[in-house]
Amino acid sequence: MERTPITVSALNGYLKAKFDADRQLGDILLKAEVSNFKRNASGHLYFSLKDENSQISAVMFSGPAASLKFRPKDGDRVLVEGSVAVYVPYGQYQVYVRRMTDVGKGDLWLEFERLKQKLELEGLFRPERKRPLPAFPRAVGVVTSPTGAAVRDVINIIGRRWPLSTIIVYPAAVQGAEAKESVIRAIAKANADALVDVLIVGRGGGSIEDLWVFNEETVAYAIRDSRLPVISAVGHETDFTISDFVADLRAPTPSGAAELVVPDRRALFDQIGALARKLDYMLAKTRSAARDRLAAVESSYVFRTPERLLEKASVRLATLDDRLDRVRPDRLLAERRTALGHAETRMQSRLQAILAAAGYAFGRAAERLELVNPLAIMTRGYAIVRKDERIVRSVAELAKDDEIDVRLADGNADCRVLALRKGV
Amino acid sequence: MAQEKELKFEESLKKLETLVRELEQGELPLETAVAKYNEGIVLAKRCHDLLKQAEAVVVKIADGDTLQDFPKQQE
Repeated sequence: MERTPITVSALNGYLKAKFDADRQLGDILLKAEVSNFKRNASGHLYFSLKDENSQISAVMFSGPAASLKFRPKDGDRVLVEGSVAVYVPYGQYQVYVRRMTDVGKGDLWLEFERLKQKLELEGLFRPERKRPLPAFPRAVGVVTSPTGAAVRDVINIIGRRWPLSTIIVYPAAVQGAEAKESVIRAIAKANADALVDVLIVGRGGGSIEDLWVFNEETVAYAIRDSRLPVISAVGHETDFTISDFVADLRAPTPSGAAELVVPDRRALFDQIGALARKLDYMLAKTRSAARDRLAAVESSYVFRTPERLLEKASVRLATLDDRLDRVRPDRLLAERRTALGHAETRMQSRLQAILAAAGYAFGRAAERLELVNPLAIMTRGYAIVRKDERIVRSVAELAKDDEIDVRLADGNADCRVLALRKGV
Repeated sequence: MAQEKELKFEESLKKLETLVRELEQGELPLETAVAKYNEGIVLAKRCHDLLKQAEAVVVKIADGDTLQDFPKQQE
């Protein structure tokens, strides 16, 4: 049987896929010595990693290389984290280095890995341990050096974004021999005071040794034991510290923590504006629905029974007036005035139509009113006596010489009491 | 004082959101809608004012058992 030949590209592509599919090769930790170290113009590092018996090519691109804490050179003993993959054009496999530590400086990174694994097993990093941060913290605690740039950054950013909150600085040494105890004490004090809603714990960037306090086991426990939610803020974008893993939230820098811990009031202005506009819209909608209902009622039932409308319409008009009186937000004032005008105009024209239609009913009502009109009675000879604007019903209310007003059907007489006689 | 202000803000905002939600669900009688609207506008204004009022953030430093003013930034 004839076999189909494949191309070199296809072969190398196939090998690359094999490598890429391999879990082990995707994440390796390698202990080696650097040789043939070269840095090209764009900042990529090319070198070999070797031990006594073997070697492998390695490349570290400028991105990850930017976070190197030392300048690698031939002969350095290093710890390398990365992956192994095939470079298709050369058919060569090599280590793609994500991070590299100088082991010669003391096995800090190994210690870091050991502690990270230990605490992970103890469950300190479990996602369900992470507590939510308050949306609008009333007070923010900051555990850091009171003299560093970090604390100033935090104050400036919170001050700009959310000046409603108070900041309490819990001063701590963040490097040197006393740093560990100092940070632990400050976290404990903030918890004991219970004056803040959330804690930022951190410092600005530095070398791995400078940041070491945030890789200490006891500091990790102090963060775990904090009742206040903790944001870790150790300045360096690419490096994680143990504190970052234990904290409820990790910020890449103290400034980053300040951005995360409080909302931005400018965004809230917008949000409130949007809510207010929604209110306007919903009210307008409700009102137009009510108007439609009103119109529907007016055009059917009410027209057929005009006498009822007379009562109803005036009650409605009064209620409408009343409502409109109560609703006076500035932005809607003009709109509502127009609405009131329309309503009144409609009411008015309806009323006139109804009044004409109900003329008969009105006439009868007027006659009935006439019967009880006091003026009508007075045309029959009765008079009303008033003293000091009050109607006098008894001679007992009068005294001699009182000035009184006598009202007749067609006018008044001012009189003075000459004498009083009781009984008829 | 900053704490009270802040609390008022959060409560006001929550209430405002609730009112908008209620209005959005619709079918409220006009009077109720108008009343809720009025309440909402007052809350929105209060939120806005609270945000606007706050000028300089208050910064303290825990010094032993007392709180001191944090020294202002030197230019």
